Amino acid sequence: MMTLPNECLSEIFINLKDYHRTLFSCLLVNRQWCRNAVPILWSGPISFKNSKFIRTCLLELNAEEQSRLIPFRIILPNGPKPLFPYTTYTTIINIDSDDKDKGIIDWLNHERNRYCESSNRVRTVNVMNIIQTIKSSLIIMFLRTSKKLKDLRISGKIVNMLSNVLDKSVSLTSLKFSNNKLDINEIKILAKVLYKNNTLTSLYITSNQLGIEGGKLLADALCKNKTLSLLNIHNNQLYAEGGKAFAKALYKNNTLTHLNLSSNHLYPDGGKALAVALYKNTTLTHLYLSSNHLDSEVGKTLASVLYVNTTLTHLSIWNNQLGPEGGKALAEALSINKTLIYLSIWSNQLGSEGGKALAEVLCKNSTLTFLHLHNNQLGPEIGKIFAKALYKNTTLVHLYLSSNLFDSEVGKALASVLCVNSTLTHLSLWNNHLDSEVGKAFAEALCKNMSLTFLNISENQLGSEGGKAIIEALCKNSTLTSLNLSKNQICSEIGNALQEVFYKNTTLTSLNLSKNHLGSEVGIVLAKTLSSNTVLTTLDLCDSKIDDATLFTIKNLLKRNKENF
Amino acid sequence: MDNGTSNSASENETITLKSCDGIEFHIDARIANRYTLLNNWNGGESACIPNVNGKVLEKVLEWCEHHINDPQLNCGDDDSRRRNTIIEEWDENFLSCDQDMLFEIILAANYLEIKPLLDLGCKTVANMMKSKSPEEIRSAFNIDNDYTPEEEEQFRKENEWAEDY
Repeated sequence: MMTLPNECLSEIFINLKDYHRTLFSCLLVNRQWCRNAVPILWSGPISFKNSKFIRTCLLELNAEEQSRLIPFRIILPNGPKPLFPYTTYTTIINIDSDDKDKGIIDWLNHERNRYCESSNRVRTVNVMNIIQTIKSSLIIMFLRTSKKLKDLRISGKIVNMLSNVLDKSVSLTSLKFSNNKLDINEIKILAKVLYKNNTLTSLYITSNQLGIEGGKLLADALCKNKTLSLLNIHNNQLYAEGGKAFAKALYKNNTLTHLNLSSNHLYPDGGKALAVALYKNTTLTHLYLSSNHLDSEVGKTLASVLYVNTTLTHLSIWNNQLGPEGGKALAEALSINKTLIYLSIWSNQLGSEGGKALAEVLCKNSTLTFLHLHNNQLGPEIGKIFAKALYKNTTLVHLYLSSNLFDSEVGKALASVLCVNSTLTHLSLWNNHLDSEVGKAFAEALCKNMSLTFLNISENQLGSEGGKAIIEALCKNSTLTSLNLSKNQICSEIGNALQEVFYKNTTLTSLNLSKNHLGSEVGIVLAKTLSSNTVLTTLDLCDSKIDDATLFTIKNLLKRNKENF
Repeated sequence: MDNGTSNSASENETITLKSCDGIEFHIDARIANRYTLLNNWNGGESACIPNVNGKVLEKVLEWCEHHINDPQLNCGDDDSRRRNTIIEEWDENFLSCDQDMLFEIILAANYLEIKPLLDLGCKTVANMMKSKSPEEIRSAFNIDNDYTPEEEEQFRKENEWAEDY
């Protein structure tokens, strides 16, 4: 083979960023390949899940970091120094997942006997303490060596050790803390960082029990900060007072574009203050206020803001109590507003009145592309108005109408509009009393429609007849990539139709048939056919009366498809 | 891609490119305008391209011609460019040539700064390596192993975590 220059090899390996096994093979090919594959393999996201990874990282600790472990008599691996400064290549560290310490625990378990002078001692001291100490040593090492670190996602008590780094770091742009129960001193450190640091653009401090006081500290810092564009403080018990502090910050700050304050018990007072701030603020584009006990008054205030604000593009206020009045006010505003493209307002007791206004405004509004209205007691009449509106509207791309007390007539109306509407790509109608007739109507629509890529009609009563019609239609459809038919009383009759679709359809990547009565025979057919289908990567068959052995075969075939994707 | 120097060439305008082995190609001037390096050489009506032979240049120009109406890529948007490794059918057929030619195309695209073609070539090679062992990769691409056994063993040990990911 002719030798490719380093920059080309590097370009090739970047395509394999998520294929760690292949990158591992590449770095063992020869020295040149190694030099180019290692920086990509180690760029991350790295985590502490794997004991072999921990072993290599422990070799990088300096004397000071090692000395922290002396009280625990942990003897570190004493191999030669690593051949590459691996951790200098790391750009993303994610040690925030559920099994975040698994690698450290495994390393201790597997290698303890070999590396520990006295295993008795280990048993007597607090194991959690050992894990935490190893972890913090490793984090300190990464913060010392990873000069290219951009994105850090952590949990645990490490704010204190971070402050030093954050003051100096020029590369770090994203920082994510979650589930840490930060104390007030730690919050003060973070606030101070926000005052000083001018590289951080994203900050996530989710589920940290900031409380009113902590919220105020951060909000004050936000008034001065000029770099942060995203702030997520979801679930932090800010209450109305904290919400008001952030509202105040929105008057002064002009860099923040994304603000997530959902699940914070803001109550109407906090929500209203934030809404009012949007009269003046002209930078915020995304606002998330879901699950905050907001009422129709907040809905009305938000609506009046939407008449004048021309920056907000995304508004998420699901799981509040906006009610019919709030829904109506927002709908009216949307007949004038030309900036909002995303509105998630599910579970807000909009009822038929609020729903009707929103359905009707779709004939006038030509900006909104995403509308989520799940669980709003809309009822069949409103469903039909939505169907009618979709003949006129040519901008809406995502529409979610699940759990809205529809009936067969609504289902059929929506199916027929799909024969002509060519903008909608995502439609969700689960739990809406749709029957086999609706199934057949959707089958017909799928033969004609060439835009829909996602369809969820789970938890309805399509039955085998309706289910079979839809499956058969997929032989003629080449746009749908995801179909959910879960919990629809579909029985083994659809086996042949499925077989044919798996041979013919080359677009569907995800199919959910769980909670039906398919039976093992269908399972065996699927396993057989799936070996010739290379597109499907997700097939949910749980609770479908298919035996475990067949499910296992299917799982492996899907895994193959996923890896080849 | 657009470096500001490209002027809007009309459809009928052609320029002549000459490969390193002296083969001449008359190409649509819009192609030259599209790619910085081809454009830079376009001092007059003809330009010489050292380092790329006629056989390879022909393939590269065939690709450029097919993609002449593609939207221009945003250079900074590296992530979206690499988000998937899906290759369109025409491109797949185009690159199902012998391995030497594939590498020649990558080298030429890199040299001529034709970024989308470079990406495509690199993706193709990347796909050929997926799920292969080091030995399989070495034999597939005819590469010599220049590691000492100790070195290879140490690299294996330091990076074997990647196998479990």
